[in-house]
Amino acid sequence: MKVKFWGVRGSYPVPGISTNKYGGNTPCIEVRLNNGQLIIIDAGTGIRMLGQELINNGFGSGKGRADILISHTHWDHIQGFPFFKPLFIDGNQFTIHARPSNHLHLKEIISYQNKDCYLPIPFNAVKANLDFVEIDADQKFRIGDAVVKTFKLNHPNIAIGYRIEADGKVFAVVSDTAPFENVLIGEQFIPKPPSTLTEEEERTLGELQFKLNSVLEDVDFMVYDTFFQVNEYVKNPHWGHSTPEHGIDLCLESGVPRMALFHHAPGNTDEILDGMQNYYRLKSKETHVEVIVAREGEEIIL
Amino acid sequence: MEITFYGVRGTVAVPGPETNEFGGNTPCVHIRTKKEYNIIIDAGTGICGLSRKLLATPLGKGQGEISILLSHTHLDHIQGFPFFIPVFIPGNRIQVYGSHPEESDLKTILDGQLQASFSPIYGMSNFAATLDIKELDAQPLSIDGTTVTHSMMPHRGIKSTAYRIEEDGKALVYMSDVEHEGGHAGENAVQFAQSAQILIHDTHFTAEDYAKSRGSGHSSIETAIELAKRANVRQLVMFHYSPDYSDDVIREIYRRYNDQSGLTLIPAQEGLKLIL
Ligand SMILES: [Zn+2]
Ligand SMILES: [Zn+2]
Ligand SMILES: [Zn+2]
Ligand SMILES: [Zn+2]
Repeated sequence: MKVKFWGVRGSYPVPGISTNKYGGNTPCIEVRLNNGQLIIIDAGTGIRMLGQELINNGFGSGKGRADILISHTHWDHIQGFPFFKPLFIDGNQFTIHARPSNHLHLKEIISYQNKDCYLPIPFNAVKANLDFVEIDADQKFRIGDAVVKTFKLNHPNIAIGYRIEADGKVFAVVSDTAPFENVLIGEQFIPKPPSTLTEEEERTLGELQFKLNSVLEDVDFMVYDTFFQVNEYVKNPHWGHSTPEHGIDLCLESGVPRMALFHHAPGNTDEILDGMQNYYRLKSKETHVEVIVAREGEEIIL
Repeated sequence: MEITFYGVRGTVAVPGPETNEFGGNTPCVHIRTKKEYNIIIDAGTGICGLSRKLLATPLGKGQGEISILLSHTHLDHIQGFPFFIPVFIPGNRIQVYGSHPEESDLKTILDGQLQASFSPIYGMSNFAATLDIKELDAQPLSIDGTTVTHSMMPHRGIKSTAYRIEEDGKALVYMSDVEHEGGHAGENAVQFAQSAQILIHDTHFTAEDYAKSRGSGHSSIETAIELAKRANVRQLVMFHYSPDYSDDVIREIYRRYNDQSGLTLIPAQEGLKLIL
């Protein structure tokens, strides 16, 4: 299995010289099985560049097929869809898996941005064959030669984590999420961090943490939302993002040997991310968890 | 007035080394009036960079006022709005002006972008600043010593709003996201841009690419030059570059047309400042 990063930035795309190294595109990850099967995770602006590459590989002549797993439908995870060229070629086949929200059908959510008032690209310009599969947390399903497990994350309006097993390896994407502590985030807006948790909330957080630890148990490589530095997390735990320390703790608890810092904050310049890479490389000598900073264009072979 | 470009890219933000020179952020132009009032045209991702700068002004303390003029509500022109930090600071007053396609109203469209499915903000009601959304009518606006008039331009099935901002007898015209009928500006567009000191115009395409993309709602560099000449405009700013154009392509377009156009061609670039 091969994992390739096409977009690693959180919130909004950040062009400019200070993001040239790690990349300014919003989330998109390519998962390629040994048999060539393609799974795409999230459709941020990074999917535009992936699309250009796919055009030269079967998708240009309408012979491509792929599954797209969406963590959640915040803009930074779906805004690249209208610019994904293989969608506009007859014959290509895509299955889009995501958790619907706000009583809207998944297709309505994905195509909402194609309304006349938001984009000059009507959804009926899509020529590929699209299947929409509405999923939820705690499911297990097979796509081609891969087995996918879904799990709930701690994020405004709920995000879904994915565990993908194929070729004898296990890969997991855990983004966007806050750790399961301090605040339980659900479908309602939380204006400020709660001062205390109810017993019910404590129990639910415990259960979700337990499920997360179990699903990650035999994972070889995890991509984790590390939008925050520690001081930022403390101020805004209700925003639904984590720090690298949260990710490392999770790896230690679940026995994950290797993780990538992901969903970088817009203000995290190459210089800051280089600093983080050095710092966490040293730290891994104590923790024995290998930490890399996800970088656009980087391929990880599992 | 002082005009600064924060986002010049059309359609979708394009990070990467190929856009370092001209910039990959979607449209946002900042105008500081003589009296130091802030006007912003369009709220693409460029507004995120501008936002950080404005925090050093009274807007950073909740004592500021600003006017945002929207050309239209395509996402590349509004997607930066939820990241414009002054909207989260109580006390600020933010006026948003614009128009919209028939079937909805401006507030609903802007709010639609922020609904729970798409944004952790869950709607504009969670902004802390006082927001005043005003639909444009036939009356010119008077914004702190400037006069702002507008005109509607054809843009693939909808209309975009062109703005003319005048101060001390000098005029800036912003006309982005427009495809004039047949690729030639109509009389109303020529009238609207007449004798402006600076015209910022949609130059999404080269002439060759435009010929292949008619009906997309955008203009070619040649259409923009023709309009500038007919309207007696001396300085034309190239704007809303195609996301497929690298710095090299934009530089090449500029070189090719700068000499032959007979006017001052200015390729918009993030950070570029023009004084009027
Ligand atoms: Zn995100
Ligand atoms: Zn999110
Ligand atoms: Zn545009
Ligand atoms: Zn437009």
